Amino acid sequence: MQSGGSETAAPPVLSVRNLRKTFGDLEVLKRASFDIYQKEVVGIIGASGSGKSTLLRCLNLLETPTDGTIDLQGERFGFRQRSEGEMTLLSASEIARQRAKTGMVFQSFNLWPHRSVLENVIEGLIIVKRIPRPEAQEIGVRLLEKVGLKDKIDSYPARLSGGQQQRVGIARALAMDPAILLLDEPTSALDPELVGEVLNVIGELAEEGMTMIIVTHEMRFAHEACDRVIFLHEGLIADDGPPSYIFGPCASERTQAFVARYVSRHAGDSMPRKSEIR
Amino acid sequence: MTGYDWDFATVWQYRALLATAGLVTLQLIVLTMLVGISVGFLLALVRLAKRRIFSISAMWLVEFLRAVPPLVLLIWVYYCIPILLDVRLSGFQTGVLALGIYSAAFYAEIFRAGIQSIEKGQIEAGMAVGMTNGQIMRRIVVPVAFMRIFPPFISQGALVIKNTVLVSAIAVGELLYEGQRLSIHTFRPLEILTVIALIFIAIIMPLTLSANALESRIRSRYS
Repeated sequence: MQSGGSETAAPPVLSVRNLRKTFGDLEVLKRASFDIYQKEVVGIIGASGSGKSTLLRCLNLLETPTDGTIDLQGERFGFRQRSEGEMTLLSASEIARQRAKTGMVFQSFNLWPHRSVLENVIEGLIIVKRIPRPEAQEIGVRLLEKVGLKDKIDSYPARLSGGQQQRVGIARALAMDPAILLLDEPTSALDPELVGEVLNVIGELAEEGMTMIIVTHEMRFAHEACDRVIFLHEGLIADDGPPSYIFGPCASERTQAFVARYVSRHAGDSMPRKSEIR
Repeated sequence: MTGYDWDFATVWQYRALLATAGLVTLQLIVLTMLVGISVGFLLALVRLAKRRIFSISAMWLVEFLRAVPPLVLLIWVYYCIPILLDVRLSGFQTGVLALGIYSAAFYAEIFRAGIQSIEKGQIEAGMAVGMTNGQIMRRIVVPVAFMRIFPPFISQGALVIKNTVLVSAIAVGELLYEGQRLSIHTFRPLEILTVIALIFIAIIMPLTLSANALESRIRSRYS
C-alpha cells in the first residue's frame, strides 16, 4: 500500500485502522487501514458490493464499525477505550456531536421536502450548532451562491432538478464546516446531462483545498480530480495510490482489470472534460 | 311543506340549554382528541419499537380497540372499570377515557403509517449533520409525516367529534342527550334533531373544508 498525500509532515486528518464491518455472517469490510491528509481528495472505486459505501458510512458512524478504529483530527470516533483495552460505544448524543465534524453527501440527495433550499442548508447550523438565524442565513446564502443556486434559496426540493438537489446537498454538508467531506456516489442518481454541474462543484471544492473522500463510478473524474484513489475489492483495499498509478500500467492486475472493464462499459457516458472540472 | 308543521320557535326557547349542552360537547371533543392523539402517538411509537414484545403488544391493543364497537366500549368502561379498579368515574370522565382510548387506536395507525413513510435517507441526512434522535423526530419525522397523514388525520378528527354523541347513552348532558330530553319535553324531536345535526355540520365542515384547502397547498408546494 502506498502512502498518499503530499503533506506527510502534518498529522493525518483521518486515520483508519483495521476497520471491519460485518452484517450477520457477511463480512463487508475486512480490516481497512488508511490515512487521509489535509486537502487530500481521495476517490474510492470498486465494483458494486465491494464495500465502498459501507466504508464511507462507517467513517461518520452511520454504520457502527464491528472492529477497528477511526480517528478524526486525533479524536477517537464512536468508541471510548476502557481500562482493559475494551472499547465501549459512545452515547448517541456524543456520536451525534462527532458526526457533525464530517459532512455527508448522499447518492439520493436526501433533502428534507418540508424545508426550503435555504432552510435545508441552515438546519444543522441552527439546530445542532445553535447559530443565530440571521448569521446562519448569511452562511447559507453564501454557500448556495458558491454552488450556483442563489436564485433558488426559497424553492422547495420538489421543484429542483436532481443536479440542483445534489448541489443543495453539498451546500448543506459544507454548512457544518466539516473537517472532511464524505460523498457517497454523488452523481449516480443523476441523469447523465446533470452529472457535469455536480462534478464541477466538487472539482471547485477540491481546488479550494477541501479534504474529501468520494465513492464514485466516474472514472474520469477520479482520474482528473482526485489526488489519490483507493480500489476496494471484496471488502479489502486492493490498491491505493495516485491516479497515475491506479489508472496506469503499474497498478495491480485486479485494479487494471476493473478499470479496463469499467472504461469499456462506460465509454459512452458523458463525463466532463478536464477543462470543465478544473 | 306538507303534513308537518315545522316549529323552530320552540327550539329557540331552549337555546340556553342547548348552548350549555354544546359547551359540554365542545369539552368532550377537545379532551377526547387530546387523549386520542397523545395516546395514539405513544401507541404508534411503541408499535414501532425494535423490541418485539412492545410492538406486538401495541399491535394487539390497537386491533382489539378497533374491533370493539365504540358504544359497547363506552358502556363497558362505565360499568366495569369501577368494579375492576375500584375507581369512581363520572359519565363525562368515562366518555373522555373510553372515546379517547378508542380513537387512540385509529390515530396510532395513522401516525404509524406516517412515520413509516419517512425515507431512511431523510433520517440519515439529519444524523449526518449531527442531530440527535429527538431532534430528528421533532424536526424531520413528525413534520414530514404529518404532511402525509393530514387527510386521514382530519377524517379521524371528524369521527371523534361525531362519536361524542355516544356518551348520551350514559346520561352525559351533551347535545344529543339534552336534545332527546327536550324532544320528549316539547314533542318537537324533528326540529331539535335537525338543529343538532346542523350544529355538528357547523363544527365539522369548516374543519374538513379548510383541511382540504391546506392539503392542496401542501401538495403544490412540497411534492
